[in-house]
Amino acid sequence: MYKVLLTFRYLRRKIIPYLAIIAVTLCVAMLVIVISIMGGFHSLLMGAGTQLMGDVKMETGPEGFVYYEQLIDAIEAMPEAKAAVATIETFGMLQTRGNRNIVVQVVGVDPQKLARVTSYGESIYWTRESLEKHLAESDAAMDGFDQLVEQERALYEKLDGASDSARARIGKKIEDVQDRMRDIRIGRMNLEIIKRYYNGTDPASHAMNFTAPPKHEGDRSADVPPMVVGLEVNPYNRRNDEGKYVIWDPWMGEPMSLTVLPITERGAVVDPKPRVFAAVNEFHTGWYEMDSKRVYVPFDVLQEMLLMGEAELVDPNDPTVVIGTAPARAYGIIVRAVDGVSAEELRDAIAKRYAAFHAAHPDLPPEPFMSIYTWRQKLRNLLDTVENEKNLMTFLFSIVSVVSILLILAIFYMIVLEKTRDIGILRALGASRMGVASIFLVYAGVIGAIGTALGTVIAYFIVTYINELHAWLGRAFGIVIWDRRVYFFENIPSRLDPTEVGVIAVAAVVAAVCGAILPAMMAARVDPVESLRYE
Amino acid sequence: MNDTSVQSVSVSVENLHKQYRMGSEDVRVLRGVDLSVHQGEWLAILGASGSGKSTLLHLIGGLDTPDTGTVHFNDRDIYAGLSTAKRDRFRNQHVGFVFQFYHLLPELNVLENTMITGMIGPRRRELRDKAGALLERLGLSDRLRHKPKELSGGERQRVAIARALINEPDLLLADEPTGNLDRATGLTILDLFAELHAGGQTIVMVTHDESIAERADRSLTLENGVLAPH
Ligand SMILES: Nc1ncnc2c1ncn2[C@@H]1O[C@H](COP(=O)(O)OP(=O)(O)OP(=O)(O)O)[C@@H](O)[C@H]1O
Ligand SMILES: [Mg+2]
Repeated sequence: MYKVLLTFRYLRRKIIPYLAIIAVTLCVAMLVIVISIMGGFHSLLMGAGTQLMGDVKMETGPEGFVYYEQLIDAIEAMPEAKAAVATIETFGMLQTRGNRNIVVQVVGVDPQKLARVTSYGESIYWTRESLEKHLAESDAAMDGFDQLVEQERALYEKLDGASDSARARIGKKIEDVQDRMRDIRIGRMNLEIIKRYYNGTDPASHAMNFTAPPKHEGDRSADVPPMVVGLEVNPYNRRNDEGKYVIWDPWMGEPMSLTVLPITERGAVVDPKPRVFAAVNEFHTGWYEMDSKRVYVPFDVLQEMLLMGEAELVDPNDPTVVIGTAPARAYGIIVRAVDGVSAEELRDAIAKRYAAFHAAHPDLPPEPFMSIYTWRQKLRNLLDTVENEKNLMTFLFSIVSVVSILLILAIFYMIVLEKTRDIGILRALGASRMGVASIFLVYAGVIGAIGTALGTVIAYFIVTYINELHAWLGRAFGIVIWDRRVYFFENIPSRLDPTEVGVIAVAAVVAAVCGAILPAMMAARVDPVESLRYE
Repeated sequence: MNDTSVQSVSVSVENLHKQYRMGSEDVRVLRGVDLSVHQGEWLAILGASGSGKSTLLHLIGGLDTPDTGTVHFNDRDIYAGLSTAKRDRFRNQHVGFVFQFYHLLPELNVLENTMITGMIGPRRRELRDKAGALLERLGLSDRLRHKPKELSGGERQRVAIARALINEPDLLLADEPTGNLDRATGLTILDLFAELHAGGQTIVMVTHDESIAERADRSLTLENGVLAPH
């Protein structure tokens, strides 16, 4: 009882205990933040993997493989598989307005089927709701436009008679205001263009069916095959400070030529053929790698462009003599497992099924050449790297925490030295050695608990608002820690795992108590007579 | 000593030796002290500064350890017969210390300083009420929330006395209770001791002032490491 009393009285003294609390707070906050972000990154990768890539994929090489339709039928007949879709994948060059070229990953696919094996349907950017949301936000921004005009005017007034350094600062502010006004106006204009383009139809339906909306008056859009483009492929789709997209130059409906390189069944490269497409929608997954590179086009169109469709075989000696037909080819098949079947189980089942299929169709390559892998295997290197990085960071910060244990040791050493006389008095009044030692252990435990609580709260806020914080850092100081190009995702992922936080919290309190063990032993050894001899 | 005495022996010290090592030479502070303190007695121990009065008092109270010799408390050897932990408990339950320099805990207020002895050791009921009553008796009831540094020397000493009495000790040990006080204040403390003594409290008081020792029932002088009647 006296221990608790003294603990709380000692806590309220001076700055030394606060130093110890700050040390614990910082260590706990750092550990929780690191683990949450790395853990969030890991789970985002896992989620993105299964959602965006499908569970299992099979592919050969750029020349593709035949009998894919029969293979899909065979796979879809398996109880483990929910759905499968054939794809054709290649690299291509997208020529945009002004002859600017963008290298893209072209995927030919049936969108309806793709939506059954991946989260394609959810990633479609322009829907009735999103268009309405954009318009509503634009309306709100337009309502505040007068205020910006007023701000600009006030700033110009301030400019007169300001000192040189102040002029530079005000000039920067004027630029900011003007930038915002321009964003609002251009954004508005382009939303109107998009709205007119969709002409009252459901934008998402065009992405799901590869159709184009009916032409409106004065529409110059061409009657060409549709494509659905990653939101970040268009460099004019920029994110503002709040992370929202400002549409600067929408591509919808605009004819653009796409060039791909056909490769024959035997692996020979044929002359590239450009073909004109027009975007009918965009998609946004949050996986930067995909959003910034991928373009979806109709399967048949790409198959034809790449000369992978069914073709007549002619006699090499006499090209006029038809000796048979070469079956159509696909590049890959993506399969989704039924609920309750893991990607790994599905992979093994498909491998077994494929062995039989291959026996019946000997012109298909056997398994190592036909690679069958799960999304996890595909992301293995990345997942391992993230896992390693998380462990490394945890290890590094644990060392930092050891330093903070030493700090607590030093702080408690000082406290015990300063309190030697008090300890002697308590011993003289009958407190046992264990009793006085436990005052300091309880004291350290309370410091550890307060520090842990503060650290967890701080970490919680930082982790929750990490993207806002990051955006602010970038705006205010030009600091960019999270490079979307490096980390695949556009937002910093984070996930507070209660178990991990719990482990850190317990460890922090235990560490604080450990730090106080030596000083507590010192307290237990105080000789009461000696400490009472002097005033 | 004779066994027909009406009062039972409370404390008996036999052939107590204590020496300290200071550098290369030994300082022999106590060289065979014999002493009996009777139940309800007020004993004063006189002696020059450095004669070993505090050392003897600490040994009687079970705070130090003698080189040789024994201290019996109600027929129990408090050194050979008690473990360190048991001796801690013994001090808490049976002995009240009033130190030479008050030695209050600076972070605690008057009430808490008084209760601290009661908070150490087994739980006591109505500790707070008891402390309040005790402080009232000592004239400190309007200072309960004050910290030691806000009190005068006499007030601090009274808090120290309250702290020593809260567990109703069999033996009150006071080391120069008036040493740091002016004459008038010192006298009020002595009056307090007289009052406690009248109530049957056994007191051993150390002083170097003969006029103060006169208030006690009996005085002994510590000289050359042994006690002699004054
Ligand atoms: N821990 C110690 N180490 C060395 N010498 C000590 C120690 N404790 C006491 N002494 C010495 O023992 C002698 C007696 O000390 P003690 O404090 O008992 O004297 P005292 O009679 O109480 O004196 P005062 O009236 O000044 O309080 C002194 O000479 C002192 O220096
Ligand atoms: Mg002394």
